[in-house]
Order: sequence, then structure tokens, then C-alpha cells
Amino acid sequence: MIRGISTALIVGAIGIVIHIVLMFVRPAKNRLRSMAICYILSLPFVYLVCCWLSPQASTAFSAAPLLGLIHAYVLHLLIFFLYAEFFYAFDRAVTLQLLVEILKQDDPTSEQLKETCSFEELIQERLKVLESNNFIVQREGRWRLKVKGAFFARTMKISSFLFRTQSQRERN
Amino acid sequence: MKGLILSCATLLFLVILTIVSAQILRPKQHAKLFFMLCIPCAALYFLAYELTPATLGFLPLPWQAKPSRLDAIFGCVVFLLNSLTYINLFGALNTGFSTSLMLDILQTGKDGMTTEQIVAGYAGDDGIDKIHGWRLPGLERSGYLRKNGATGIYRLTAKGFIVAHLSSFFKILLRVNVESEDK
Repeated sequence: MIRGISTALIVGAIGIVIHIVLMFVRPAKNRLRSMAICYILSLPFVYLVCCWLSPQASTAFSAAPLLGLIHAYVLHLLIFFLYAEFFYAFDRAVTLQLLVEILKQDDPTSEQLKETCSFEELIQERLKVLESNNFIVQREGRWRLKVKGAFFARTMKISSFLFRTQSQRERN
Repeated sequence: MKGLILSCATLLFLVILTIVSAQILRPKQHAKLFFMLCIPCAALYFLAYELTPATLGFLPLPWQAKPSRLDAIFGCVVFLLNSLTYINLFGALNTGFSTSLMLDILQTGKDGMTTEQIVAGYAGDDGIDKIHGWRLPGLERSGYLRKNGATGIYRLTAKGFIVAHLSSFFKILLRVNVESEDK
């Protein structure tokens, strides 16, 4: 079990470092996809490192080594989820973006902030991201949902009913 | 293996508990409630681990992970990591900005919306948008920044300064938004 946990930590850490370095060399347009590819490519290494740490895992598929492998694969997956969540926390959070902007501008006035953190620009930026991910499409100047977007939005409507949530527009 | 199975069962319980609590309490900040519910669920997990047999009544003996204390801790870590993913996914999908935009477009049906109509929907009664009318006062209330009433200047507090610096560092390290700069 300890070997399984160690394997996940080693492979997970190396995978994340390699992904970060690759993003410096050649940044990916779709980060989630690049993270998923990195995760899939690292899967055989989980097995190899687990075998290297506990040689009996490669020779006999008895319960104990297999259990170590299961622990390794589960933790390895969760480490990659954590990395993706960490990335998107900084990529999408409007609040953090505001704090960084205030830090960069060194004590701005509300007017200066309105110029640099334009709400219209933020919405346009998000609409472009949704368009590039095939959720929405712009026809004759009007944004409409694509099949994928409509399915997603309907699912979210059910979810917001279940959890009694309010959309960003409804909140105040 | 017992730890993993119990952690999955506890996660399922947490999901049901969050739905029921949201229906009853109708919280304004779901994430806070969900994080608070994680604590009793983690305690419940350890209680279940102590009270149930090592084989859970169906696991073959060789499938018992040893040492059992490590198995219990591993299960708890898996539960916490899964809970974090669940809360993050919940936030992104239910209260996220992009989701909100799609829900607005869904409500208009086949007509769709122009960018101007979408932007107008996010303005308050006083005409101020949500960043300046809602996010900035929210940051001020939670002690991340201070606004000088006379000059209108925003200044980061010590807490805000640390968070802004950390965010800035991780944005550089993770190359956040770098693809848009390259275009």
C-alpha cells in the first residue's frame, strides 16, 4: 500500500512538472485537453514505477500487489484532478483577477479599474471561450446555444433546482 | 480496499446531504456549507471504519490493505480529495460565470441574445455592473481591500496583498492566459 501511494506521488509530481515545463515551451490552446493527454501518457509509468518499487507486482497478480496498483491509480487520478482544479482556480476566478489587477496598477481609482477590468470585455472573452468550445454560436449578431450547450444548460437548470442555486445574474 | 470503499460511500452520503441541506437551508454561499458538511462526513467515515468488520462482510481476506491505520487515513484523504473535486465542480457548473451566460441564452429560446443584451442583464438597478457594484464591495467586506471614500482609490490590505501576490505567482508559473497573449 505504501508503495502504491509512493508511486502515485512520484508519477503525479513528475507528470505535473513535465506539463508545466511543456506549457513554457509550447503553451496549449486547450489546457484541459493537454492535461488529459499528459495524464493518459503517464498511466503506463504508474505500472512501471509500481513494479520497480515492488518487484512481485510484475510477476504475480495476487491480491496484495494488485491492491497497491489500485491505490496508485486512484491517487494518481486524484492528483491530476487537483492540478486541473488548481489551474482553473487561477484561470477563471474573476475575484483573483481583480486583486492581481489592483496589485499591478498600484492603488488604482475606480475609474482606472473600470477601464482595465471592463465588464463588457470580460463577457466578450467568456463568450469567445464558449464559442471556441462549441457551446454557443453567433449568427446575425445573436448568440445561440449549440446542441452541446443546450444539453449542458438544461442539465445545469436541473442541478440549480436541486441545489437551490442562483446564477451570477440573479445574485446580488 | 475497505478504506476506498468506505470513502466512496461517504462521498455519496455527502452528495445526498448537500442536496438535502441546500433544499432546507437555501444558503447564499453553498461552498461554505459544503466545506462545513465535509467535517462531520469525515468523522462519520472514521466511525464507520472502526465499527465495520475488516472484510466489510464481502471482501476476501487478501484484499485487506495493511497496515489498517494507513488504509483508514488513505480512505479519508481520497474522500477529502473527492469532496474538493465535487465542490469545485459544483461551483464551476452551478454558480460559474460561463454557466450563467449559457442559462441566460437558454431562457431566450431560439431568439438568442446579443452581447449588449447579455451585458445589460448583469447591471444592477443603479446601472453599475457586477464587478464594480458587487465583486469589489464583496472584497472590501471580506477584508481584502479598502476604498478611500474621498479619492475613490482602492488599496490592498495585508491579506489582499498576500493573496494577490500568490495569485500573480501561480498565474505566471501555470502560464495562465498565456495562449491569449500569443494570439
